[in-house]
Amino acid sequence: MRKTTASFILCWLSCLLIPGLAFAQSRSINGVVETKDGKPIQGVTVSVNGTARATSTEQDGTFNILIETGQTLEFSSIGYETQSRRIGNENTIRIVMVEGKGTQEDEVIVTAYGQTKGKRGLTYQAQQLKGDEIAETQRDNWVNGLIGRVAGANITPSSGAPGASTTIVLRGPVSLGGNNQPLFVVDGVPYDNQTINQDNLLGNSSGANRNSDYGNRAADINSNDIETITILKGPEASALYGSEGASGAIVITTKKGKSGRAVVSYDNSFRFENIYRFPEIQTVYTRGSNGISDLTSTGNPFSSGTVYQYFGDKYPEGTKIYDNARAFFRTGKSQRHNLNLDGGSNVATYRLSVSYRNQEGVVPMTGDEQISTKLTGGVNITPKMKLTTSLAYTNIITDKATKGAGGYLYNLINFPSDIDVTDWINPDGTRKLYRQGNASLSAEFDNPFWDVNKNRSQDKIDRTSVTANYTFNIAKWISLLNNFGVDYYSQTGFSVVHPLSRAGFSLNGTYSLYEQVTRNISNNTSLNFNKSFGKFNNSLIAGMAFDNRSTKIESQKGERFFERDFYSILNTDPISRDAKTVQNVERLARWFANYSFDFNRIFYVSLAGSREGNSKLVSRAVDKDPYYNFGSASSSLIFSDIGNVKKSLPWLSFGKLRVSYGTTGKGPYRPYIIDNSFSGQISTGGGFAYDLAAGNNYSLQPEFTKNFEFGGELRFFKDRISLDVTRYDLRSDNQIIAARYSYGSGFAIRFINGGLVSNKGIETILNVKAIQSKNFKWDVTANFDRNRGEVLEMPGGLPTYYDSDTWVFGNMRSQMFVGASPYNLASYTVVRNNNGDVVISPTTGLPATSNNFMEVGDRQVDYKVGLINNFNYKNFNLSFNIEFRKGGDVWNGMEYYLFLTGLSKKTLSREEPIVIKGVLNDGLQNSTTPTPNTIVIVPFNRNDYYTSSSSSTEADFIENVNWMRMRDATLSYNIPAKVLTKTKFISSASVFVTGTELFMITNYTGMDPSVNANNASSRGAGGVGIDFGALSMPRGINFGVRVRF
Amino acid sequence: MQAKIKKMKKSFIYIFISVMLISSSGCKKWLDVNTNPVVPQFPNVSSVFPTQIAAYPRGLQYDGRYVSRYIQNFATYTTSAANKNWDNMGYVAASDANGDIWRQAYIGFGRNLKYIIETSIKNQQWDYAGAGLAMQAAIYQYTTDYHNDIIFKEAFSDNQTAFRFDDQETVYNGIDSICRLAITYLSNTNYSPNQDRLSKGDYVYNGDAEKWLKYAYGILARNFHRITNKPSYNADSVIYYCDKSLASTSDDFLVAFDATRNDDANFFGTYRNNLSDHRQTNFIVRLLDGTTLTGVPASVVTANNRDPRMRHLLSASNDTTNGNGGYRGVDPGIGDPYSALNNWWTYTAGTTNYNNARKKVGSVWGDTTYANPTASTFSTTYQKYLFGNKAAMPVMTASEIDFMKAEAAYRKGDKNTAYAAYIKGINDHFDFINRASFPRGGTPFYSINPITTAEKNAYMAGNNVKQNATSLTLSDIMLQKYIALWGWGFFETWVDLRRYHYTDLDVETGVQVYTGFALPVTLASENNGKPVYRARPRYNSEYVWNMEELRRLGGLNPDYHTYECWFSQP
Repeated sequence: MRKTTASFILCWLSCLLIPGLAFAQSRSINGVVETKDGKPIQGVTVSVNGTARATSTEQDGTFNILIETGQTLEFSSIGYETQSRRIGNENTIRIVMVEGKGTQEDEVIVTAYGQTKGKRGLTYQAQQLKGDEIAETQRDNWVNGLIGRVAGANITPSSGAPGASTTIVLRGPVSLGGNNQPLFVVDGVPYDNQTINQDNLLGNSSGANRNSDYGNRAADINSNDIETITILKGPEASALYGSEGASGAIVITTKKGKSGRAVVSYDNSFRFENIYRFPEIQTVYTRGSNGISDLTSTGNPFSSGTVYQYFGDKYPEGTKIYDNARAFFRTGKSQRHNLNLDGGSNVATYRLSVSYRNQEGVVPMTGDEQISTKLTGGVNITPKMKLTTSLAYTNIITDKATKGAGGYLYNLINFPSDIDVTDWINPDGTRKLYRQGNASLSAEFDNPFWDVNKNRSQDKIDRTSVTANYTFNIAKWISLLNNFGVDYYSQTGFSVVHPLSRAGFSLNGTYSLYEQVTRNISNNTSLNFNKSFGKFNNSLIAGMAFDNRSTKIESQKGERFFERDFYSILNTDPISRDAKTVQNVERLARWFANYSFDFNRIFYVSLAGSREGNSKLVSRAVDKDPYYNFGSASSSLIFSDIGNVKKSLPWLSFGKLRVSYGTTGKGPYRPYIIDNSFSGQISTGGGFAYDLAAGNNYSLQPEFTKNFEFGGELRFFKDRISLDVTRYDLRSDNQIIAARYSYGSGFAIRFINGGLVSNKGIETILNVKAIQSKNFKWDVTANFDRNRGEVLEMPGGLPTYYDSDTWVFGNMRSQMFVGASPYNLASYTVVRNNNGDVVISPTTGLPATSNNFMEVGDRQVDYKVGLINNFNYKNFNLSFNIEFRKGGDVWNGMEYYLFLTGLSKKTLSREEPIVIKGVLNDGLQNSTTPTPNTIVIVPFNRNDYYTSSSSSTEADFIENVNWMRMRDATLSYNIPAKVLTKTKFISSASVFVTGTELFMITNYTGMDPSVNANNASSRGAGGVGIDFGALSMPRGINFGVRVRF
Repeated sequence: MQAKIKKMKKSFIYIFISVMLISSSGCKKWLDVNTNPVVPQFPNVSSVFPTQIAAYPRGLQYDGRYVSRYIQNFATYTTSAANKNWDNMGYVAASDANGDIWRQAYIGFGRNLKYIIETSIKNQQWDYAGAGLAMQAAIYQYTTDYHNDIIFKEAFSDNQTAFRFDDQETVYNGIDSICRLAITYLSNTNYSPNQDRLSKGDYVYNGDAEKWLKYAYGILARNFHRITNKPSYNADSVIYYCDKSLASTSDDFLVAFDATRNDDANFFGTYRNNLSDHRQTNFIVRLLDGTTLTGVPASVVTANNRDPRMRHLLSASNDTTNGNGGYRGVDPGIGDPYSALNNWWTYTAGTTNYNNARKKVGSVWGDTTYANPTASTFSTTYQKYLFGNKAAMPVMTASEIDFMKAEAAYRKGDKNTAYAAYIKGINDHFDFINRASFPRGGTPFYSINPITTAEKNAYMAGNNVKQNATSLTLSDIMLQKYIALWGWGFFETWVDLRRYHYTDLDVETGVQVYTGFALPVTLASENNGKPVYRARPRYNSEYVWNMEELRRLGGLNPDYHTYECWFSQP
């Protein structure tokens, strides 16, 4: 039903829009912009002097703009000299652009609050990407399209499943326990990027943020609406955005309508995807223990639930072995349609986009459906006043599967290879059981098909965002800018544990539902002054910003179903029902100013400051100042334009040096922790007790990050090669951290200040225009980054800090120590003597584990390179993005799990006798003459060699990972204009094929090292690099057409 | 026109600047939204008080699972090493097991009681202040008796992340002061008329300050009575405080459970299923079947020596041929010899397996149940004594106070007072079992029918009970107290056993005070041959985060738990 409705809407809209083609009746001028060789140039900005009217040329170099006789058109584009043309009575013109030098610095980028700045004098590195480039990657979550394209961005999808959230951290995690994700800003106002935190939901006994994912809400942006994406990492930009931008900002501008002939464009994409990296399991030995087959034999690794253990004898000869993993996954399919209409007069412009996407995931029963539409209108109220408004609506429905321990993936890998996994349900609708003898429903894992079919969960988003951007050019040197936005959405969802499922059996089914309503309102106003005195060009921006954010989450849970297969809260036992509400309201008020000047466009200085008031620091009990200040100072020097530098270095076309220092403050990541934090109790008598896991602290102060960075930009050989290098040094002190320490504090976890974290790194962007001939162009961009983080001091002098969300299996977790990296992994290790030899028990011949969490791994990547190649041959365009990663640890928790249950291929050598190298724990182990171990173990007969957590520890499954992966590749072909002119109504068309995650070459032995054990709501370093129960990224092929009418 | 625009521009800038100035000064109010709309941050003490009552049984029951094995209320029926370790007076390293009293002291009660006390004093709600202080004194008493050195003076200090432990003598003096403060407030009737009284939220005594006063005196009595081995011991003070404390069953401090879901059901009930490894010991079986108290082994002939309380406290097996009506127990660290057998009805009648399977020691939840019959479901069919989903958990009973008084008087040499208190103690325990009504509709402790007067009279006049003051011995008092506290008063019984070093002899009679009590055959390996004397502080609180302080105290030594506490030393 849903699908037909959506298709209908799509058709209806198309019908509605096509007649609109005829409306543009004012005097407009058509033109084409070409090179001297007559090759059309796309993306040339065409503007009418003295007005706000502007457009840019299409792929075929054509443009159309409204004009009055006597006005002057200006044509500008990177790499070309700017051209002007006064328009008389002609209706068509042809412009020939001349390649120029050094015009790239005239490009402007969008910075804070919708301000623009010339790139030439910019005192920090800011990468700007074109929205189309990201949209072309055809990612469901466009944030994944940024992988490899942004130097210094660490982007980790939590899995390859539909609706999975993606974590993005710029540079390094500066906050050990706070939120490290950047602020998303769309058209000058913040865009919410929350991921639901399971701590805020009911019934979360198995640990938060590991068994379900709710998406990250920045994914709601339709990538086809994005014009540009600017990544701000430097101190100045974040100083202006305040505490919300302390971890950087991703500033997005959306496409606007252009005056002139209305244009309708349509594109589509059809996608097929599949899983090509499967968990590898042994299929030699069957279920049992100590070499004796027993088809009901179970183990229970780390009490995560009893599962089959495969320590029996070999499968009897002739046993049919099923490839269950491949039988389970299916080919994912999706389709996407985008329809855009834009046009306008010299007074008003508008743009409408409608997008529809439908996906069936590689996991059966999963998928999503998205409808988004955006209407943007601009109007020139007076020649000096302009108002642009937009209204965007997104609806997404995601059908999800479980994740982590007990999820379908674990059910699948543990499923016996001698049984056909596709045979999962009895004719009467009950679960098929395979463990003979002890056929209790809680005594064996669900068949994965049962799990995905019966244990359903779904999320539904309804999101509306409104923005209004107002510009008033009060005078030539002063203008006012106001950005207003309302971002409103509700996310609802449910999850079911079927009464006949393993986890649902004892409770006779559970049903949970939630609704999150988020309403963010923000406004910022700024005055811009620009005035030149002689060779001094001055600019001052002063303004204020307000943010009002409110998120409310209501959840309900019930147990004990009446009807076995009916999913509703009303189908649960009334006395089992429970409800929970969490509401967070936050307000920020900020005053900011940025004064910058330059001398003769050679020497630039910029000073920025903010004073911010943060409601999260307000107390009703104690007198507390919610305000704090921060700022930055930066400078750049275009040394290539000094004196005769250029003359003496003719190969140097541009050279800039920059240096900056700045601070940013960050309040607590959640409200209500200054005054008492109580929580509702459901023990007898009810009432409120202190929240033992969120101890309040009256003396909490904002944490500060100090950033010193310097770098430069060099361009050689007429801009054929450009190199941008930044070196940064971030020091974050007075960290706000939800610290565990002695219960003597009165809490298990309490918010405290303290500690010092350093992140140092280097980011470079290299661009080479390798070939630039008439018909063939080859452009290469390489983004390189390296970050080294170190915890210099722990808050409160505490010995350690760990993130319990990341403790998903065994004893491995993200844990900090002084001297370790913020991406440190800690786990138990085997006991060693003073000499470092493994100490072996004289009775078992196995080592013992020490119950101390030790530093065992660092998930920090040595360096990453994103290599983007772009080839252009006549009408063909090929671009691809290869990402390289060198070093950095990933914990293969999945392999450890397989090892403990006898499914790992590492257990195939079980019939070979083994003597573990070490010394006996006989009292002499620390003497000068320890007794070497000589106890022979044949693991086949002694499965404790695998199952006892001491003979191999978590740390043995850490892998130092390198990879080279083809993140995306697109081949497109522009249908020649000659062909199109015959159709009369199609002005341009192209066809394309895009592949994502086409291949990966890696030394990693698991499914996919680029996953996250948690969803994106976890803070600090999170579960990045902990591989436990996450699906690998599927390989996908898209194809489609783009047509412009 | 030009001038007008200029003017407009000017006024615009003025407006902009003044808006900025006004907003910067008026903003503090706009920012004042840091108040949780769904949970009060400064709640009425009457909303916090019920959570504290509910928190009370948690620590006692969680850790009761382990202490009950040190004192041989229970022992494991399995041969599992982890279970046996507790029976053998050991502990589990790097684990929070037996760390729940610590949790209760600092984060269950902790700041909540502090909040109740401080807020109610400010609001002149003296009954809340007194009750809060009484519970605070009680939890410190439990905690120091359990761990010896504990965080006391520096507890809840805001500006530190490591906390110094105070020695037990300091803590004892502190508890004395807190109790006296509690008594002062509970005696103050000059309440603020505008504030809620204790009756709102108090589901133990319904706001009866008199009863809270008795409870506070009871804690004081415990505090004074623990140092029986010290020269400074003052029996008169103990008797004085006992006389002001709980006098009858209606004064008993019982915490009720609503039992509608996991979180409000009795931790010891079938639904929550936390005593599945626990079986009655031979020690309690012999106390109740007459063997220990009469000195004559139980047999069909000595059936009249059986305690009528036995069928209410203990579970019988199917096979009733053992001479005491089928009540069997296990010895610590040994387990039930027949535990591996399947249900008796699965064997052919008359075979050895059939006969032995009928001899398995029953679970705590009912006669002839060898496993939890209704785990995870709210059945009221199965309940024995305190082990039901809706059975209240005792915290202090009149009977306990009676026996404390009896021991104090006996030590003083006042045998008549001691005898009267001893008899009253037994009677009060019978009343406790027979109690008919409970707060919040709790279910009775007796099995099916209460103990009849005839049964009780027969027992009181029988061989188990001394018939006059002159024949009364310390063993009589301590063993009857052991019976009265069996199944709930684990911490008090452990204090008693440690005061007598488990196996001390009565100097008067030359007989072991806890007659028939034997240390486990094998002590846990880390004990170095010594019995347990203290619990190690909670692992994930102190061993992980406050290690330097433990190092100072020797807490990192594997046998720290065998160090004798201050209170039982001379």
